[in-house]
Amino acid sequence: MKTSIQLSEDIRRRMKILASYRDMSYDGILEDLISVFENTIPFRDREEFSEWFELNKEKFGFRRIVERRREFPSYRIEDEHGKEKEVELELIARDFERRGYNPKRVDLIIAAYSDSKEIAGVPVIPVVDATQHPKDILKRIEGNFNMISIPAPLFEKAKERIEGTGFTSVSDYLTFMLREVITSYEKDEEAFSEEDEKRVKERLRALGYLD
Amino acid sequence: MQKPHGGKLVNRVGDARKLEEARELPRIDVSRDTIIDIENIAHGVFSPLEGFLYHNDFLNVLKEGRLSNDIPWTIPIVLDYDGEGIHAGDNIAIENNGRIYALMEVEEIYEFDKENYAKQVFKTTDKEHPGVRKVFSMKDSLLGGKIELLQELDNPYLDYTLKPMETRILFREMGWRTIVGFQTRNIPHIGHEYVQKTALTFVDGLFINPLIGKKKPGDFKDETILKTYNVLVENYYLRERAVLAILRTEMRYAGPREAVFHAIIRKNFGCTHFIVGRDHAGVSNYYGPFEAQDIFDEFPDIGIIPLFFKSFFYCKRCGSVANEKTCPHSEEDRIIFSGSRIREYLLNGEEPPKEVMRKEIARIVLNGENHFVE
Repeated sequence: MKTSIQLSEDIRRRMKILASYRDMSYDGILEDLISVFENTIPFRDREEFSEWFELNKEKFGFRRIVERRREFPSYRIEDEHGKEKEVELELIARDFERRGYNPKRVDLIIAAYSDSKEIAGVPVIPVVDATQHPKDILKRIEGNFNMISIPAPLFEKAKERIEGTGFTSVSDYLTFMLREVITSYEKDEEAFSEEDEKRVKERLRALGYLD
Repeated sequence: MQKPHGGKLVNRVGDARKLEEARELPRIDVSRDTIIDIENIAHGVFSPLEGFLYHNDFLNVLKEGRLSNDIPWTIPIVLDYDGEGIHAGDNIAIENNGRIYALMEVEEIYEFDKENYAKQVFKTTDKEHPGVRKVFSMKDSLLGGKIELLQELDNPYLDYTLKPMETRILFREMGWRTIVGFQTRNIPHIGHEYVQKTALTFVDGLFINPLIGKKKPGDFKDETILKTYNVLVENYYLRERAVLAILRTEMRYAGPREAVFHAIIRKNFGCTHFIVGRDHAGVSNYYGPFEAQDIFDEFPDIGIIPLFFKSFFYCKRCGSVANEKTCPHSEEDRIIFSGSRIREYLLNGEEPPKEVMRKEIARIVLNGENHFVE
Protein backbone atom coordinates (compact mmCIF):
# COMPACT_ATOMS: atom_id res chain seq x y z
CA MET A 1 0.00 0.00 0.00
CA LYS A 2 1.27 3.47 -0.82
CA THR A 3 0.36 6.84 0.59
CA SER A 4 1.44 10.42 -0.08
CA ILE A 5 3.56 12.47 2.26
CA GLN A 6 4.21 16.19 2.21
CA LEU A 7 7.88 17.15 2.05
CA SER A 8 9.42 20.59 1.94
CA GLU A 9 11.23 21.54 -1.25
CA ASP A 10 14.58 21.51 0.52
CA ILE A 11 14.10 18.00 1.94
CA ARG A 12 12.82 16.73 -1.43
CA ARG A 13 15.93 18.14 -3.13
CA ARG A 14 18.28 16.59 -0.59
CA MET A 15 16.48 13.23 -0.80
CA LYS A 16 16.77 13.36 -4.57
CA ILE A 17 20.52 13.99 -4.39
CA LEU A 18 20.96 11.15 -1.89
CA ALA A 19 18.89 8.80 -4.05
CA SER A 20 20.82 9.72 -7.20
CA TYR A 21 24.15 9.07 -5.49
CA ARG A 22 23.05 5.52 -4.93
CA ASP A 23 20.83 5.12 -7.98
CA MET A 24 17.73 4.20 -5.98
CA SER A 25 14.10 5.26 -5.40
CA TYR A 26 12.61 7.56 -2.70
CA ASP A 27 11.13 4.51 -0.98
CA GLY A 28 14.51 2.83 -0.89
CA ILE A 29 16.28 5.87 0.49
CA LEU A 30 13.57 6.32 3.16
CA GLU A 31 13.86 2.68 4.25
CA ASP A 32 17.61 3.01 4.51
CA LEU A 33 17.37 6.24 6.48
CA ILE A 34 14.91 4.64 8.89
CA SER A 35 17.15 1.65 9.43
CA VAL A 36 20.14 3.93 10.10
CA PHE A 37 18.06 6.03 12.47
CA GLU A 38 16.65 3.00 14.33
CA ASN A 39 20.14 1.71 14.92
CA THR A 40 21.41 5.12 15.95
CA ILE A 41 18.95 5.47 18.84
CA PRO A 42 19.56 2.67 21.29
CA PHE A 43 16.11 2.97 23.04
CA ARG A 44 12.70 1.72 21.92
CA ASP A 45 10.79 4.60 23.51
CA ARG A 46 10.99 7.40 26.02
CA GLU A 47 10.09 5.09 28.94
CA GLU A 48 13.04 2.84 28.20
CA PHE A 49 15.29 5.88 27.90
CA SER A 50 14.05 7.22 31.28
CA GLU A 51 14.79 3.91 33.00
CA TRP A 52 18.27 3.81 31.52
CA PHE A 53 18.91 7.45 32.43
CA GLU A 54 17.93 6.96 36.06
CA LEU A 55 20.26 3.98 36.37
CA ASN A 56 23.12 5.88 34.73
CA LYS A 57 22.59 9.41 36.06
CA GLU A 58 26.07 9.49 37.69
CA LYS A 59 27.66 9.20 34.26
CA PHE A 60 26.07 12.56 33.41
CA GLY A 61 27.47 14.11 36.60
CA PHE A 62 24.20 13.88 38.62
CA ARG A 63 24.15 12.78 42.24
CA ARG A 64 20.40 12.14 42.76
CA ILE A 65 16.93 12.74 41.35
CA VAL A 66 15.09 15.27 43.47
CA GLU A 67 11.78 15.06 41.62
CA ARG A 68 10.43 12.95 38.75
CA ARG A 69 7.55 14.40 36.69
CA ARG A 70 5.17 13.16 33.99
CA GLU A 71 4.93 16.65 32.53
CA PHE A 72 7.59 19.11 31.34
CA PRO A 73 10.32 19.37 32.54
CA SER A 74 10.99 15.70 33.25
CA TYR A 75 13.32 15.95 36.26
CA ARG A 76 14.66 18.08 39.00
CA ILE A 77 18.11 16.68 39.77
CA GLU A 78 21.04 17.45 42.06
CA ASP A 79 24.46 17.57 40.38
CA GLU A 80 27.76 16.39 41.87
CA HIS A 81 28.38 19.87 43.31
CA GLY A 82 25.06 19.75 45.17
CA LYS A 83 23.37 22.21 42.80
CA GLU A 84 19.77 21.50 41.73
CA LYS A 85 18.86 21.70 38.05
CA GLU A 86 15.80 21.36 35.82
CA VAL A 87 16.36 18.69 33.18
CA GLU A 88 14.28 17.63 30.18
CA LEU A 89 14.68 14.18 28.75
CA GLU A 90 14.13 13.74 25.00
CA LEU A 91 14.72 10.83 22.67
CA ILE A 92 15.65 13.31 19.92
CA ALA A 93 16.92 16.65 21.13
CA ARG A 94 15.15 18.62 18.41
CA ASP A 95 11.77 17.35 19.74
CA PHE A 96 12.25 19.92 22.50
CA GLU A 97 11.68 22.68 19.94
CA ARG A 98 8.96 20.78 18.08
CA ARG A 99 6.95 20.45 21.27
CA GLY A 100 7.33 24.21 21.84
CA TYR A 101 8.75 23.93 25.35
CA ASN A 102 9.90 27.06 27.12
CA PRO A 103 13.71 27.03 27.17
CA LYS A 104 13.76 29.37 30.17
CA ARG A 105 12.29 26.65 32.38
CA VAL A 106 15.16 24.15 31.92
CA ASP A 107 18.90 24.10 32.48
CA LEU A 108 19.74 21.08 30.42
CA ILE A 109 18.44 18.65 27.80
CA ILE A 110 19.49 15.03 28.03
CA ALA A 111 18.90 13.42 24.64
CA ALA A 112 19.32 9.93 23.26
CA TYR A 113 20.32 11.55 19.98
CA SER A 114 21.36 15.05 19.07
CA ASP A 115 22.90 16.72 16.06
CA SER A 116 23.43 19.93 17.96
CA LYS A 117 25.25 20.96 21.12
CA GLU A 118 22.32 23.20 22.16
CA ILE A 119 18.66 23.59 21.34
CA ALA A 120 16.97 26.99 21.74
CA GLY A 121 19.94 28.08 23.82
CA VAL A 122 19.69 25.09 26.20
CA PRO A 123 22.81 22.89 26.39
CA VAL A 124 22.35 19.29 25.26
CA ILE A 125 24.10 16.21 26.58
CA PRO A 126 23.53 13.46 24.02
CA VAL A 127 23.99 9.72 24.34
CA VAL A 128 24.58 9.51 20.58
CA ASP A 129 26.40 12.65 19.50
CA ALA A 130 25.62 13.27 15.84
CA THR A 131 27.68 16.46 15.86
CA GLN A 132 30.52 13.98 15.50
CA HIS A 133 30.13 13.73 11.75
CA PRO A 134 31.04 10.27 10.38
CA LYS A 135 33.88 11.85 8.41
CA ASP A 136 35.21 13.38 11.63
CA ILE A 137 34.90 10.05 13.38
CA LEU A 138 36.78 8.36 10.55
CA LYS A 139 39.39 11.07 10.78
CA ARG A 140 39.84 10.36 14.48
CA ILE A 141 40.08 6.64 13.89
CA GLU A 142 42.43 6.83 10.96
CA GLY A 143 44.63 9.67 12.20
CA ASN A 144 45.17 12.99 10.51
CA PHE A 145 44.01 12.44 6.95
CA ASN A 146 42.55 14.87 4.48
CA MET A 147 40.61 14.41 1.28
CA ILE A 148 42.27 15.84 -1.81
CA SER A 149 40.97 16.08 -5.35
CA ILE A 150 43.01 15.07 -8.34
CA PRO A 151 41.90 14.93 -12.00
CA ALA A 152 40.03 11.68 -12.74
CA PRO A 153 42.36 10.64 -15.62
CA LEU A 154 45.36 11.09 -13.31
CA PHE A 155 43.63 8.94 -10.70
CA GLU A 156 43.06 6.24 -13.33
CA LYS A 157 46.71 6.41 -14.43
CA ALA A 158 47.87 6.11 -10.83
CA LYS A 159 45.51 3.16 -10.36
CA GLU A 160 47.04 1.42 -13.37
CA ARG A 161 50.53 2.29 -12.20
CA ILE A 162 50.12 0.52 -8.83
CA GLU A 163 48.87 -2.74 -10.27
CA GLY A 164 51.20 -5.54 -9.26
CA THR A 165 53.18 -3.30 -6.88
CA GLY A 166 53.05 -3.37 -3.10
CA PHE A 167 50.72 -0.34 -3.02
CA THR A 168 47.20 -1.27 -1.98
CA SER A 169 45.53 2.01 -2.96
CA VAL A 170 46.05 5.17 -4.95
CA SER A 171 46.08 7.07 -1.64
CA ASP A 172 49.01 4.98 -0.38
CA TYR A 173 50.85 5.51 -3.63
CA LEU A 174 50.34 9.28 -3.71
CA THR A 175 51.27 9.55 -0.02
CA PHE A 176 54.53 7.75 -0.79
CA MET A 177 55.28 9.98 -3.77
CA LEU A 178 54.48 13.19 -1.90
CA ARG A 179 56.58 12.23 1.10
CA GLU A 180 59.51 11.54 -1.20
CA VAL A 181 59.15 14.85 -3.01
CA ILE A 182 58.39 17.06 -0.03
CA THR A 183 61.34 15.84 2.03
CA SER A 184 63.73 17.22 -0.59
CA TYR A 185 62.37 20.70 0.11
CA GLU A 186 63.08 20.65 3.86
CA LYS A 187 64.67 23.85 5.06
CA ASP A 188 68.42 24.01 5.50
CA GLU A 189 69.80 23.87 8.99
CA GLU A 190 70.74 27.12 10.63
CA ALA A 191 74.48 27.70 11.12
CA PHE A 192 76.10 27.20 14.50
CA SER A 193 77.12 30.25 16.49
CA GLU A 194 80.74 31.42 16.38
CA GLU A 195 81.09 30.59 20.03
CA ASP A 196 79.82 27.01 19.47
CA GLU A 197 82.10 26.57 16.46
CA LYS A 198 85.15 27.69 18.45
CA ARG A 199 84.34 25.52 21.46
CA VAL A 200 83.62 22.44 19.33
CA LYS A 201 86.77 22.80 17.21
CA GLU A 202 88.90 23.14 20.34
CA ARG A 203 87.44 19.93 21.74
CA LEU A 204 87.87 18.08 18.43
CA ARG A 205 91.53 19.13 18.32
CA ALA A 206 92.10 18.14 21.93
CA LEU A 207 90.66 14.69 21.22
CA GLY A 208 92.76 14.27 18.08
CA TYR A 209 89.86 14.30 15.63
CA LEU A 210 91.14 17.51 14.01
CA ASP A 211 94.74 18.65 13.47
CA MET B 1 75.39 19.78 5.09
CA GLN B 2 72.91 17.00 5.83
CA LYS B 3 69.70 18.33 7.37
CA PRO B 4 68.85 17.10 10.84
CA HIS B 5 65.74 14.93 11.07
CA GLY B 6 62.72 17.22 11.21
CA GLY B 7 64.80 20.14 9.91
CA LYS B 8 66.32 21.43 13.13
CA LEU B 9 68.96 20.09 15.49
CA VAL B 10 67.32 20.07 18.90
CA ASN B 11 69.14 21.64 21.82
CA ARG B 12 67.50 21.10 25.21
CA VAL B 13 70.53 21.72 27.39
CA GLY B 14 69.56 23.98 30.26
CA ASP B 15 71.50 26.14 32.63
CA ALA B 16 73.11 24.05 35.39
CA ARG B 17 72.32 26.86 37.81
CA LYS B 18 68.72 25.66 37.71
CA LEU B 19 69.82 22.65 39.77
CA GLU B 20 69.26 24.65 42.91
CA GLU B 21 65.60 25.42 42.12
CA ALA B 22 65.14 21.86 40.84
CA ARG B 23 65.65 20.58 44.39
CA GLU B 24 62.35 22.20 45.40
CA LEU B 25 60.37 20.36 42.69
CA PRO B 26 58.63 16.99 42.88
CA ARG B 27 61.13 14.32 41.78
CA ILE B 28 61.06 11.04 40.02
CA ASP B 29 63.87 8.55 40.09
CA VAL B 30 64.70 6.93 36.76
CA SER B 31 67.26 4.47 35.37
CA ARG B 32 70.63 5.40 33.87
CA ASP B 33 69.23 4.40 30.47
CA THR B 34 66.50 7.00 30.83
CA ILE B 35 69.04 9.68 31.73
CA ILE B 36 70.98 8.68 28.61
CA ASP B 37 67.76 9.05 26.57
CA ILE B 38 67.43 12.55 28.06
CA GLU B 39 71.01 13.38 27.10
CA ASN B 40 70.31 12.16 23.57
CA ILE B 41 67.19 14.30 23.33
CA ALA B 42 69.00 17.32 24.74
CA HIS B 43 71.95 17.08 22.36
CA GLY B 44 69.84 16.49 19.27
CA VAL B 45 70.74 12.82 18.78
CA PHE B 46 67.00 12.13 18.82
CA SER B 47 65.98 15.28 16.87
CA PRO B 48 63.18 16.30 16.39
CA LEU B 49 62.16 15.01 19.85
CA GLU B 50 62.28 17.68 22.53
CA GLY B 51 61.10 15.40 25.30
CA PHE B 52 59.25 12.20 26.00
CA LEU B 53 56.47 11.34 23.58
CA TYR B 54 53.01 12.84 23.94
CA HIS B 55 50.08 10.47 23.74
CA ASN B 56 49.14 11.22 20.13
CA ASP B 57 52.77 10.88 19.03
CA PHE B 58 53.09 7.65 20.97
CA LEU B 59 50.00 6.16 19.32
CA ASN B 60 51.12 7.30 15.89
CA VAL B 61 54.61 5.90 16.36
CA LEU B 62 53.09 2.53 17.24
CA LYS B 63 50.62 2.53 14.38
CA GLU B 64 52.45 4.31 11.58
CA GLY B 65 56.11 4.48 12.62
CA ARG B 66 55.73 8.25 12.43
CA LEU B 67 55.21 11.15 14.84
CA SER B 68 51.81 12.80 14.64
CA ASN B 69 53.29 15.43 12.28
CA ASP B 70 54.17 12.60 9.83
CA ILE B 71 57.92 12.66 10.49
CA PRO B 72 59.31 9.10 10.46
CA TRP B 73 60.00 7.84 14.00
CA THR B 74 59.84 4.15 14.79
CA ILE B 75 60.90 3.62 18.42
CA PRO B 76 58.87 5.15 21.28
CA ILE B 77 61.05 7.28 23.53
CA VAL B 78 58.94 7.29 26.66
CA LEU B 79 59.12 7.81 30.39
CA ASP B 80 57.13 5.39 32.50
CA TYR B 81 55.64 6.33 35.82
CA ASP B 82 53.67 4.67 38.62
CA GLY B 83 50.87 7.22 38.58
CA GLU B 84 51.16 8.80 42.04
CA GLY B 85 51.98 12.31 43.15
CA ILE B 86 52.62 13.98 39.81
CA HIS B 87 49.97 15.73 37.75
CA ALA B 88 49.75 17.12 34.24
CA GLY B 89 51.05 20.68 34.36
CA ASP B 90 53.72 19.97 36.99
CA ASN B 91 57.37 20.83 36.54
CA ILE B 92 59.42 17.99 37.92
CA ALA B 93 63.04 17.08 38.53
CA ILE B 94 64.39 13.85 37.10
CA GLU B 95 67.00 12.09 39.18
CA ASN B 96 69.03 8.92 39.30
CA ASN B 97 70.46 7.65 42.58
CA GLY B 98 69.60 10.87 44.38
CA ARG B 99 71.27 13.12 41.80
CA ILE B 100 69.17 15.46 39.66
CA TYR B 101 69.96 15.47 35.95
CA ALA B 102 67.06 17.17 34.22
CA LEU B 103 63.83 19.09 34.43
CA MET B 104 60.60 18.12 32.74
CA GLU B 105 57.35 19.96 32.03
CA VAL B 106 54.81 17.17 32.45
CA GLU B 107 52.12 18.00 29.92
CA GLU B 108 50.40 14.63 29.77
CA ILE B 109 50.07 11.51 31.87
CA TYR B 110 48.56 8.62 29.98
CA GLU B 111 48.07 4.91 30.27
CA PHE B 112 49.23 2.58 27.53
CA ASP B 113 48.61 -0.90 26.23
CA LYS B 114 51.81 -2.89 26.77
CA GLU B 115 50.74 -5.73 24.55
CA ASN B 116 50.04 -3.39 21.66
CA TYR B 117 53.35 -1.60 22.28
CA ALA B 118 55.24 -4.90 22.10
CA LYS B 119 53.31 -6.15 19.09
CA GLN B 120 53.79 -2.98 17.04
CA VAL B 121 57.43 -2.29 17.89
CA PHE B 122 58.85 -5.78 18.30
CA LYS B 123 56.33 -7.71 16.16
CA THR B 124 55.92 -10.18 19.00
CA THR B 125 54.54 -10.37 22.52
CA ASP B 126 56.87 -13.22 23.45
CA LYS B 127 58.44 -12.31 26.77
CA GLU B 128 61.60 -14.19 25.83
CA HIS B 129 62.32 -11.22 23.55
CA PRO B 130 64.48 -8.79 25.59
CA GLY B 131 62.65 -5.71 24.29
CA VAL B 132 59.22 -7.19 25.00
CA ARG B 133 60.32 -8.24 28.48
CA LYS B 134 61.35 -4.66 29.18
CA VAL B 135 58.00 -3.27 27.97
CA PHE B 136 56.05 -5.62 30.24
CA SER B 137 58.22 -4.59 33.20
CA MET B 138 57.39 -0.91 32.67
CA LYS B 139 55.10 1.04 34.99
CA ASP B 140 51.52 1.54 33.82
CA SER B 141 51.55 5.22 32.85
CA LEU B 142 53.71 7.38 30.64
CA LEU B 143 54.66 11.02 31.09
CA GLY B 144 54.71 13.24 28.02
CA GLY B 145 56.51 16.57 27.88
CA LYS B 146 59.66 18.52 27.11
CA ILE B 147 62.88 18.01 29.04
CA GLU B 148 65.81 20.21 29.90
CA LEU B 149 69.17 18.60 30.67
CA LEU B 150 71.01 20.21 33.57
CA GLN B 151 73.98 17.88 33.98
CA GLU B 152 75.30 14.70 32.39
CA LEU B 153 75.98 11.24 33.71
CA ASP B 154 79.54 10.11 34.27
CA ASN B 155 80.87 8.73 31.01
CA PRO B 156 83.88 6.42 30.91
CA TYR B 157 84.10 6.94 27.15
CA LEU B 158 83.95 10.72 27.10
CA ASP B 159 86.86 11.01 24.67
CA TYR B 160 84.92 8.93 22.16
CA THR B 161 81.58 10.65 22.68
CA LEU B 162 80.73 13.24 20.06
CA LYS B 163 77.48 15.18 19.93
CA PRO B 164 75.71 15.80 16.61
CA MET B 165 76.88 19.41 16.58
CA GLU B 166 80.47 18.17 16.96
CA THR B 167 80.29 15.50 14.26
CA ARG B 168 78.66 17.97 11.88
CA ILE B 169 81.45 20.49 12.38
CA LEU B 170 84.04 17.71 12.19
CA PHE B 171 82.69 16.33 8.89
CA ARG B 172 82.60 19.81 7.42
CA GLU B 173 86.15 20.56 8.55
CA MET B 174 87.31 17.30 7.00
CA GLY B 175 85.76 18.37 3.73
CA TRP B 176 83.28 15.49 3.68
CA ARG B 177 80.02 16.10 1.86
CA THR B 178 78.84 12.49 1.80
CA ILE B 179 79.26 10.36 4.90
CA VAL B 180 78.25 6.77 5.50
CA GLY B 181 77.31 5.72 9.02
CA PHE B 182 78.02 2.26 10.36
CA GLN B 183 76.19 0.92 13.40
CA THR B 184 77.69 -1.94 15.34
CA ARG B 185 77.38 -3.78 18.63
CA ASN B 186 80.06 -6.34 17.82
CA ILE B 187 83.80 -6.50 17.49
CA PRO B 188 84.84 -6.17 13.84
CA HIS B 189 85.47 -9.14 11.59
CA ILE B 190 86.68 -9.05 8.01
CA GLY B 191 83.09 -9.00 6.69
CA HIS B 192 82.35 -5.78 8.59
CA GLU B 193 85.53 -4.20 7.32
CA TYR B 194 84.70 -5.21 3.77
CA VAL B 195 81.22 -3.68 3.97
CA GLN B 196 82.55 -0.45 5.46
CA LYS B 197 85.30 -0.11 2.88
CA THR B 198 82.97 -0.96 0.00
CA ALA B 199 80.60 1.80 1.12
CA LEU B 200 83.50 4.18 1.68
CA THR B 201 84.49 3.75 -1.97
CA PHE B 202 81.39 5.72 -2.96
CA VAL B 203 81.36 8.46 -0.31
CA ASP B 204 83.78 10.94 1.25
CA GLY B 205 83.94 9.59 4.77
CA LEU B 206 83.07 6.71 7.06
CA PHE B 207 81.55 7.26 10.49
CA ILE B 208 81.98 4.15 12.62
CA ASN B 209 79.54 4.53 15.45
CA PRO B 210 79.48 1.56 17.85
CA LEU B 211 76.55 1.42 20.19
CA ILE B 212 77.65 1.65 23.80
CA GLY B 213 74.97 0.90 26.37
CA LYS B 214 72.90 -1.83 27.91
CA LYS B 215 73.03 -5.08 25.95
CA LYS B 216 71.93 -8.64 26.49
CA PRO B 217 74.07 -11.34 28.09
CA GLY B 218 76.47 -12.89 25.59
CA ASP B 219 77.02 -9.64 23.65
CA PHE B 220 80.53 -8.15 23.62
CA LYS B 221 81.31 -5.66 26.38
CA ASP B 222 81.47 -1.98 25.46
CA GLU B 223 85.17 -1.58 26.23
CA THR B 224 86.03 -4.58 24.06
CA ILE B 225 84.08 -3.20 21.09
CA LEU B 226 85.75 0.16 21.43
CA LYS B 227 89.24 -1.24 21.93
CA THR B 228 89.01 -3.53 18.90
CA TYR B 229 87.61 -0.82 16.63
CA ASN B 230 90.31 1.56 17.74
CA VAL B 231 92.96 -0.92 16.68
CA LEU B 232 91.21 -1.58 13.36
CA VAL B 233 90.84 2.12 12.49
CA GLU B 234 94.42 2.96 13.49
CA ASN B 235 95.92 0.14 11.46
CA TYR B 236 93.66 -0.35 8.47
CA TYR B 237 91.89 2.93 7.67
CA LEU B 238 93.03 6.26 6.30
CA ARG B 239 92.91 8.80 9.09
CA GLU B 240 91.31 11.40 6.83
CA ARG B 241 88.56 9.02 5.73
CA ALA B 242 87.27 7.40 8.91
CA VAL B 243 86.01 8.68 12.25
CA LEU B 244 85.31 6.47 15.25
CA ALA B 245 82.93 7.78 17.92
CA ILE B 246 80.37 6.06 20.09
CA LEU B 247 76.61 6.22 20.33
CA ARG B 248 75.38 5.98 23.91
CA THR B 249 72.02 4.28 23.96
CA GLU B 250 70.65 0.90 24.83
CA MET B 251 69.95 -1.82 22.29
CA ARG B 252 66.20 -2.34 21.87
CA TYR B 253 66.49 -5.42 19.63
CA ALA B 254 63.53 -4.16 17.58
CA GLY B 255 65.00 -5.35 14.28
CA PRO B 256 63.44 -3.46 11.34
CA ARG B 257 62.06 -0.59 13.40
CA GLU B 258 65.36 -0.16 15.17
CA ALA B 259 67.21 -0.10 11.85
CA VAL B 260 65.15 2.95 10.85
CA PHE B 261 65.75 4.48 14.29
CA HIS B 262 69.51 3.92 13.93
CA ALA B 263 69.45 5.53 10.49
CA ILE B 264 67.63 8.60 11.83
CA ILE B 265 70.19 8.97 14.63
CA ARG B 266 73.06 8.86 12.12
CA LYS B 267 71.26 11.42 9.98
CA ASN B 268 71.30 13.69 13.01
CA PHE B 269 75.04 13.12 13.36
CA GLY B 270 75.34 14.39 9.78
CA CYS B 271 75.51 11.13 7.80
CA THR B 272 74.05 11.09 4.30
CA HIS B 273 74.16 7.29 3.97
CA PHE B 274 73.66 4.42 6.38
CA ILE B 275 74.70 0.78 6.12
CA VAL B 276 71.98 -1.76 6.80
CA GLY B 277 73.21 -5.31 6.87
CA ARG B 278 71.67 -8.69 7.48
CA ASP B 279 69.34 -8.93 10.50
CA HIS B 280 70.14 -5.42 11.71
CA ALA B 281 69.30 -5.01 15.43
CA GLY B 282 67.69 -8.44 15.44
CA VAL B 283 67.70 -11.06 18.14
CA SER B 284 67.14 -14.84 17.89
CA ASN B 285 64.84 -15.53 14.96
CA TYR B 286 62.17 -12.88 15.53
CA TYR B 287 62.85 -11.10 12.23
CA GLY B 288 63.56 -12.21 8.70
CA PRO B 289 67.20 -11.75 7.62
CA PHE B 290 66.44 -8.77 5.35
CA GLU B 291 63.31 -7.38 7.02
CA ALA B 292 65.40 -4.50 8.38
CA GLN B 293 66.16 -3.52 4.78
CA ASP B 294 62.63 -3.93 3.43
CA ILE B 295 61.13 -1.57 6.03
CA PHE B 296 62.92 1.39 4.43
CA ASP B 297 60.44 1.13 1.51
CA GLU B 298 57.86 2.62 3.87
CA PHE B 299 59.98 5.71 4.52
CA PRO B 300 60.80 7.48 1.26
CA ASP B 301 61.02 10.69 3.29
CA ILE B 302 63.56 9.50 5.86
CA GLY B 303 66.22 11.78 4.37
CA ILE B 304 69.20 9.41 4.61
CA ILE B 305 70.15 6.88 1.95
CA PRO B 306 70.20 3.32 3.25
CA LEU B 307 72.89 1.11 1.71
CA PHE B 308 71.78 -2.50 1.77
CA PHE B 309 74.33 -5.26 1.95
CA LYS B 310 73.63 -8.94 1.59
CA SER B 311 75.64 -11.61 3.39
CA PHE B 312 79.35 -11.71 2.66
CA PHE B 313 81.73 -14.66 3.03
CA TYR B 314 85.34 -15.44 2.28
CA CYS B 315 85.77 -17.57 -0.84
CA LYS B 316 88.91 -19.66 -0.77
CA ARG B 317 88.94 -20.04 -4.56
CA CYS B 318 88.32 -16.34 -5.26
CA GLY B 319 90.86 -15.56 -2.55
CA SER B 320 88.73 -12.66 -1.38
CA VAL B 321 85.59 -11.58 0.38
CA ALA B 322 82.61 -12.13 -1.90
CA ASN B 323 78.87 -12.57 -1.91
CA GLU B 324 76.39 -14.60 -3.89
CA LYS B 325 76.28 -11.99 -6.63
CA THR B 326 80.03 -11.97 -7.14
CA CYS B 327 81.22 -15.52 -6.45
CA PRO B 328 80.54 -18.49 -8.76
CA HIS B 329 82.01 -21.12 -6.42
CA SER B 330 80.30 -23.67 -4.21
CA GLU B 331 79.50 -23.49 -0.51
CA GLU B 332 82.43 -25.80 0.34
CA ASP B 333 84.80 -23.05 -0.80
CA ARG B 334 83.24 -20.47 1.49
CA ILE B 335 84.12 -19.40 5.02
CA ILE B 336 81.09 -17.77 6.58
CA PHE B 337 81.43 -14.74 8.88
CA SER B 338 79.30 -16.21 11.59
CA GLY B 339 79.16 -14.23 14.84
CA SER B 340 78.41 -17.32 16.90
CA ARG B 341 81.23 -19.30 15.23
CA ILE B 342 83.67 -16.46 15.91
CA ARG B 343 82.49 -16.35 19.53
CA GLU B 344 83.11 -20.09 19.82
CA TYR B 345 86.69 -19.73 18.64
CA LEU B 346 87.34 -16.90 21.06
CA LEU B 347 85.68 -18.63 24.02
CA ASN B 348 87.87 -21.67 23.33
CA GLY B 349 90.92 -19.43 23.43
CA GLU B 350 91.57 -19.88 19.71
CA GLU B 351 92.19 -17.26 17.05
CA PRO B 352 89.59 -17.36 14.28
CA PRO B 353 91.07 -17.91 10.79
CA LYS B 354 92.84 -14.82 9.40
CA GLU B 355 90.30 -14.74 6.55
CA VAL B 356 87.62 -14.08 9.17
CA MET B 357 89.24 -11.82 11.74
CA ARG B 358 92.32 -9.63 11.92
CA LYS B 359 94.89 -11.07 14.32
CA GLU B 360 95.19 -7.76 16.20
CA ILE B 361 91.47 -7.90 16.93
CA ALA B 362 91.45 -11.54 18.00
CA ARG B 363 94.41 -10.99 20.33
CA ILE B 364 92.63 -8.25 22.23
CA VAL B 365 89.82 -10.67 23.04
CA LEU B 366 92.21 -13.51 23.84
CA ASN B 367 94.06 -11.61 26.55
CA GLY B 368 92.45 -13.62 29.36
CA GLU B 369 89.78 -11.15 30.48
CA ASN B 370 86.06 -11.76 30.12
CA HIS B 371 84.86 -9.75 27.14
CA PHE B 372 81.21 -10.77 27.21
CA VAL B 373 78.22 -9.23 28.96
CA GLU B 374 77.04 -11.55 31.75
